[in-house]
Order: sequence, then C-alpha cells, then structure tokens
Amino acid sequence: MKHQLLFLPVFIFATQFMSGQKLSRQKYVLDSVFIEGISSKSVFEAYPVTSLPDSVSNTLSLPELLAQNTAVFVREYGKGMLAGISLRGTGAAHTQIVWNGIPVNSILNGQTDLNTFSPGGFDEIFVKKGGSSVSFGSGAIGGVVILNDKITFSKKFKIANYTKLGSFKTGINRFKIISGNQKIYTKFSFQIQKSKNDYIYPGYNIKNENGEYQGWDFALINGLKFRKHQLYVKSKISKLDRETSRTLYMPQNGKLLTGNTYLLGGWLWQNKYFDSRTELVYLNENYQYYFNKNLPGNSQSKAQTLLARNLINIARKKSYKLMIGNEISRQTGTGDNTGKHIRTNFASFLIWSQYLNKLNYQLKLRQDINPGIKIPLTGAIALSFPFHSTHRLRFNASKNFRLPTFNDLYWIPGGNPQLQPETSYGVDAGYDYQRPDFETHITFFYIDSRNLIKWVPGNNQYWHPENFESVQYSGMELAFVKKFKIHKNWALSDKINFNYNRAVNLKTGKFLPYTPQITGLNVFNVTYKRYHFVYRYRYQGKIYTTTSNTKFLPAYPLHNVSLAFDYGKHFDMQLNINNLLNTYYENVPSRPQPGRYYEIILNFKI
Amino acid sequence: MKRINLLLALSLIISFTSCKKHKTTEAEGEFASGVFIVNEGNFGQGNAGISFADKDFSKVTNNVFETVNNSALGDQAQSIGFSNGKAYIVVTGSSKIEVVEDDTMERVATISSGLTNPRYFEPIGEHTALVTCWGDPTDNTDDYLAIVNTNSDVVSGHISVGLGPEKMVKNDDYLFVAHKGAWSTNNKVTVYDLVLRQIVNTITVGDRPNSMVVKDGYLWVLCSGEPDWTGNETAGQLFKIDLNNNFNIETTFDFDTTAHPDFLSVSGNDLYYYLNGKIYKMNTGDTTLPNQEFMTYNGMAYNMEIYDGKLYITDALDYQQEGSVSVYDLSDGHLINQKTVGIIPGDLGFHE
Repeated sequence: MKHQLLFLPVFIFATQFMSGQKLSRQKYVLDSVFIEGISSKSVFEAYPVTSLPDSVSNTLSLPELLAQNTAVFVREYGKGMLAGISLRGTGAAHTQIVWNGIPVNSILNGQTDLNTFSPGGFDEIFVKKGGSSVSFGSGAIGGVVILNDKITFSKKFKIANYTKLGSFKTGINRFKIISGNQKIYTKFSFQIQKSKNDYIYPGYNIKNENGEYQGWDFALINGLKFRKHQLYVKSKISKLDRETSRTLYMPQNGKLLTGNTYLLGGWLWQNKYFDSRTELVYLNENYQYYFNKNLPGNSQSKAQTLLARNLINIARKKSYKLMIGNEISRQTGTGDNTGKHIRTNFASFLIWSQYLNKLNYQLKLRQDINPGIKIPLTGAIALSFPFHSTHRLRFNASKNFRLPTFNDLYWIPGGNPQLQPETSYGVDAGYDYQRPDFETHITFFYIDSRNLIKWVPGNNQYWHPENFESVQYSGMELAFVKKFKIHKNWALSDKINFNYNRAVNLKTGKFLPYTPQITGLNVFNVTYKRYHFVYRYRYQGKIYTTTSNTKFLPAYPLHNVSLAFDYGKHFDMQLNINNLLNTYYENVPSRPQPGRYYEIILNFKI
Repeated sequence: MKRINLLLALSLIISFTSCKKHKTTEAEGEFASGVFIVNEGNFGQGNAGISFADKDFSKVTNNVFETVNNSALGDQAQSIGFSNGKAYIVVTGSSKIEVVEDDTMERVATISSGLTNPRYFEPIGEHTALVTCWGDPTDNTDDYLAIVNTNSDVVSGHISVGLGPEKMVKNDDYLFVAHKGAWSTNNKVTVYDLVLRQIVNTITVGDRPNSMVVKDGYLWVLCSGEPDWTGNETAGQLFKIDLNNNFNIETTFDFDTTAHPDFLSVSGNDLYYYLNGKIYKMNTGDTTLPNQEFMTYNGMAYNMEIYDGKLYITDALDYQQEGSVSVYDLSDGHLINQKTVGIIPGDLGFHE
C-alpha cells in the first residue's frame, strides 16, 4: 500500500520586508545595464528590494537568513523541516524563488521548500516584493526571492572555509573557492550539514523526536570570456534527507528525501547597442516520502523542466532600453499520486525602460501560450521619481497570474483538470529617503487576487480544488536604518523593519489563517575595533489558525545575540545565542521551535 | 494538511452509528447527562477537543476536556466510549486514550503504552474493553484489537486482526468489528465471541464496511463501496446477516454503482442511512431499498447518529473552523437546534 501525504500542503501565509536599497543614479549607466539578465537588481529599481548581506549567509539556512535580516514571515514546520515563505500575506505558492533568473518553484505543488536552499554559495540574494509575473511567470504574485551567482572577469583567487557547530549536535561546513582572471571565472562551493535536531520544546518535557537531518549542496560556476562573447555554466546539486519531526501531540516516524539538480548553460553576446543572452536550463526535483522510515513503502514524485530562453537588450541612447525575452519550457511531472503529465509553455515579453530627468518608468508586457490552459496577457508599469538626490517616490502596478500545479490538476483523487489560472492585480506606492547614515523606506500595497485555487471537501468523500476564493491583501511596510560613528573605534547602527498586512477573504470578510498581520524586526549593531556585537529582536503578531478567526497562535518576541571577533584577513569567529529568553514559539500549530541554543562559527579565508 | 485531511476524510469520514449508552449511578456531575461531541481537530495541529451538550443541544459547552484538566486533548480525537463510570477518549494521532471521570471530565489516567493509532473503544465485560487499532497505517499486517483492563486502565494484551478495524457493535453473545480498511480498503467483519473470548468467524461483506447495527437477531452492515477515484468503483451495499444461522447473509441490498451510502442507524424497527445529503429510512422488514428520501440535509454530514428519537448530524464545514451539530426530531424531521461545536466534529457519545 502506498501512502502519499503531500510534502508541502497548500497554505496561505504572510508578510515580508525591505531595506537597504540604493537610490544611486549612477545605476543608470548603460554599461551595467547591458550585461544584466532578467534577475539583476537594477531591473527592479522602482521596487522595494531587500538585499541580504552575503557575509552572514555562509552557514545559515535560507529561513534563518530571511528571519535575521528581514521581517518576512517564514512558515517552518519545526527547525529544519518544510519551510515556505509568505510575502505581503500571500501563500507560499505566490512567491517565486528564482535561481540565476530561472523560477524554480516546484511544478508539483507550486512552492519551494526554503530549507532545501543553502544560501551560502550565492553571491547575491535579495527579496523583491510585488507582482513580477512579467519577468518570472506563474506564481510571482507576492514577490520573488532571487539568488544569483555572479560571474566577473578580474584577477582573483579566494579560498574560504566556514564551519558552524551548534546545539542539538548540529554541524555545517562550507568550502568555497573562487578563482579567475580577465578571461576565466570559476567558483566551486560545497556544503555538508548534519543535525540530530533533538531540541526540547520549551516548557514541555518533550524532545523533538525524529527530527534528524543531513544533506549536502554543491555548486560549480564557470565562465569564459573572449572578445564580445561570454560562455558560462552554472550548476547546483543538492540532497537533503530529513526525518519528519513529531508534533507537540503526535509522534512521527517518517522521512523525506529531497534531491534537486539545476544546470544552466549560457551564451552572452555583447555589442555596442545590444546584447543577447541565450540560455539552456535543466531542472530536476525529486522527492521520496516514507510514512514509516523503517518500512520499505514510499511515495515518490519527481519533476523535470527543460527551458530555453533568449533575452535581448537594445539601447541606442543612454536614456532608454528595450528588453525582449522569449522562452519555451517543457515540464514533466511524475508522481505516485498524479501519474505522468507534461506541460509545454511558450512566453514572450517586452520590458521598455526610459530614464528621463526626474522620472524613470518601465512598461512591461508578457503573453504566455500554453496548449492546456488559457493564460491572460500580463503587464506592469513602474514609475520612479528621484526628485532630489536623497528622496524618491515610486509606484508600481502589475497584473499577475499563477497556474494550477500538477497536484491541483492531476492528484488522485480530486485533481481538477478544468482549473483556470489565478489572476491578481497588485499596486504599491512608496517613498524612499536615503543618506549614508540614515534611511527611511515606506511602502503601501494592495493586491486583489481572484480565482484562487483552494481544495474544498466534496460530497464524494474526497477533496478537490476549485477556483474558489477571492482575497484582498493590503498593508504597509516600513524600514529605518540609522548609523552612528561615535569614535574612531566605535560604530553603532540600528535597523527597524515593520510590516502590517491584511489578507482578507472577500466571501467571509475574515483574515486568512496561518498568516500574521504584524511582523517586526530590530537589529542593533555595535562595532568596537575588531569586535562586532549584534542584538536582534523579532516580533511576530498572532496567527489565526481557523478560517473563522476564533483561534490563534499567540504573538511572540524573540531575542538573539551574537558576538564576532575579526582576527585579521584570514580568520574570524562568531558566537551566537539564539532565543536568549528560551521563549516557546511556533509558526505552525503544534510545531514548536527550539528554546535557547548556541552556535559557534569559525571562518578561514585566503 | 489538506492532503492529509483528504486522507482523513477518506478514511475517517465514515463513522459508525451505534450509540454509546452508559448509565451512571454515582452522584450527578456537570456532565452526568447529555451528549459528548468528539471534535477530531486537524491532522498535526493538536486541536482536538470535547464539547458537551444536553440532548436537545439547547446549550453547548466547548473545550470541556481542556478546561477541566488544563491540558490539550491531543491530535485527532476519534471517538468516545464509556465503562465503569469513566469515559475513554480515543485520540488516534497521539496514539493514546485519555481516561476521565464520565460526569466531571477529570482525568483519571492516560493510556499510551500498547496503542498505535487507536480508533474505537467498546466495553465487553465488567473490567475489560476492546480498542480497534490500525497499528502503522502503511503496514497492512499489524492491525489489532487492544485489550484494555478498565480497572487499572492499562493495555493487557492484543488480538491480531485483518486490515483496518474500525467501529464495533455487540449483542449479548458477539462483538462485531467492521474492517473498513484504514488508509486502504477491506471488506470483512470479524466476529468475536464474548463468551469464548476469541475470534470465531470472519464474514465477507462489500467494500469498505462503514457502519453496523444489531437488531432482532440480525446484523446489518452498510458498505460504502469503492469510490470512483480508485478506478475500480463499486456500488454501496447493505447486508442483512442472520446471527442465528451461522452468520449467513440473508439479504444483500445493492445501491447504484455511483452511490456510496454511509452512517447506518436504527430507531425502533427503522433503519436510517445517509447518501449525498439525503437521509433515507427503511423498515427492517423491507425487501428493497427506499426510493424516496426521508429528509435532506443542507450541507455535508461528517457523521450522523440517532439516539432516543433524535437524529444528530455533524458538519465539518471547511474543516478549518468550528463545525456544527444539527439535531432533528425523528418523528417529523424538523430541526430542533443547530449549534457550533469544535473543529471537525465526529463521534457522539450519549451519556445518562
């Protein structure tokens, strides 16, 4: 008998954040524009973008990285387990995770399990809020999380090794080499991790049984430059074996094996007035779920994506640019619960950008053609008014969509091949103030999503999905950064993020469950000579757990401290105390997170 | 979670209909007389609970176990049974039984050793009860009946049975166990001799026997049949089994292939069952199934039971909020009361 509990259920989640975006006008220099791909940061200059510092990411998991640097809500089923992101109150399937310009959310369930991504190997990670279907297609409704490997041609040779040892027998090691010159670039990155993960639930005499995990993650990036041409290969292969941890009230003895392979080959041709980027991509995702890890029976599913795309940038003058994109993809999903299905999709898009004196704007259009399903024309407009060297106003409006997943269409029982795409209209407006020692960012947003796919009970004793729900998301995002230089040896800084969002079901007038309305983050830094002290305070508001809004997980504050010692160019170390006050907290009902725990991080660099 | 609920809906939605009755002779506590509603709660969320109502549902108190014992009940409460002045709340996901005083809800014991995915509790003697247990639901060979000593409240032994034992009914001589098949499917009824204290027969019935009643020397077994998504859809069937003639199937009533009935109950000489939002009624002497429904329910029943001339329908609504219980007068089908209870209300325990 085979049993298939879905790996990542269909939840509705919440929230996100922003800070640290640059207003600099020199970004409009064409040279940098020329070589940008679809996921380069400057494409998003009118959007609220949160860059995540790479220096902290080397041994963190993606949920930890987001939690420590943004007020984004991550719905994690206990530490190290399944984790989905929520931007602006939308669900995990409404945020695309983008690897080197390629959307990689599973075609089976529309989501990415954030714990399967080790961010340490990447050169650039950022969170972009707001609809982005023109650039990234299905699912980019709440926003996107972008992870980039950047190829640069200059003389360099770096070796680094990062080791983290922590409570619950947790160990992570990442080794990284970057080497290159004017013609060649190579990056190699390898991480192994292992954790017993048997933390005690604070206030309960219960251990997180069956929560062990181990995995590895490998990335190899190569680039070759000759005259006007660049050839490059990017790859990422990872494997994660996790037991499925118990809940507060329910023992478990299952395990989930996850494997991902991403391969990308590209050719960039740069000319005076245009560049052309052609890429071939292969993605493979593989899951094996054992309800009982001691028994042979399991359920399997896997999916493959083959994608070819071409991006052309045209810019005859410095004041405008036209990007033309064409891509074709073929996705194959196979599962014990779904059978084998293939989806072919063709997409064309145009992005027109013009830089005027006090106004920058972008117009975007995209049409997808898919033999199986009618996808609406999508489009976006972005306006930015840098009316002063330190002030900017911005405005975005977009139409976005999400295709039904293979599980929605074909799951046995219940899969509904008649499902239509979800459609969504989003607007946001914001103000940025930026000086070297002080930043303020304010954004208001509104999203109207229709035909949301929801699994509902049926009279035939099983559930089936329908284009059932309409939801309005609205809210506000605030970010402040203040830096002080008190003395030549002392520097202080403080960063505050605050998000408020309302995700309201239009039929019932109630908040969507499993989504907090409020999240906040305060990061206080002190640097004294070679010592860095960081105090992080995170607040998460209550999370309703019923559609009637009668029950909720309580709000909680979380305190983390860390002290780092920088011993010159080749060695630094860091000591973390997480959940300082041993607070009981959970983001998913009955899935407690650890109490106080400790980590030591040792970094060697050449 | 939805997928899991889907499985739950598949495997658990069909509840059984014989009523648990228990007469207490002790001093009357707050919960001495009325109906306990077992709110299953969501898979993995630990939000199961017990509600309590008078038999007309004019007043409902929710979360009574939690309130009295200052402790959560656990994950996926499946059923409630009564024995020796105690109530036994079977909590499948947590693989335990919470034993409470039946009139105060105060915890007496927690039985967790010897129980893996327990389903239903049935007393078979002064100090003995049986509990159907799935074992590991992905292992088709480890299903059993746990023998519970209701004096000391420990599991004292177990009897191996076929796949997916679920609800039980008994008469003076026998206990019958319907094997609906847990997460898979089965078509058996196990006959356990209450005098010999052993299994004496296995009756093959239709696919997925979901509910049973014993009436005047006959065992009635309602089977839902295989649902369409299996690719092997079979019709629902009702079996009339003669207990005085070697468990022979005297009559088989066949439904349409696409009809999958549920929740067989008895009141007087009338049988009741539920099919696609309609409640049907037939006399135990009838030779054909009824064509015309007795009444309709405007919703989706998660469970239906009859007790003392009243029909109770539980409704899980969207499964993500508090469900409801509707109480109808069986004499004319009029709605007496409809009340909000806990999340995914299922089994009902009638107590007086």
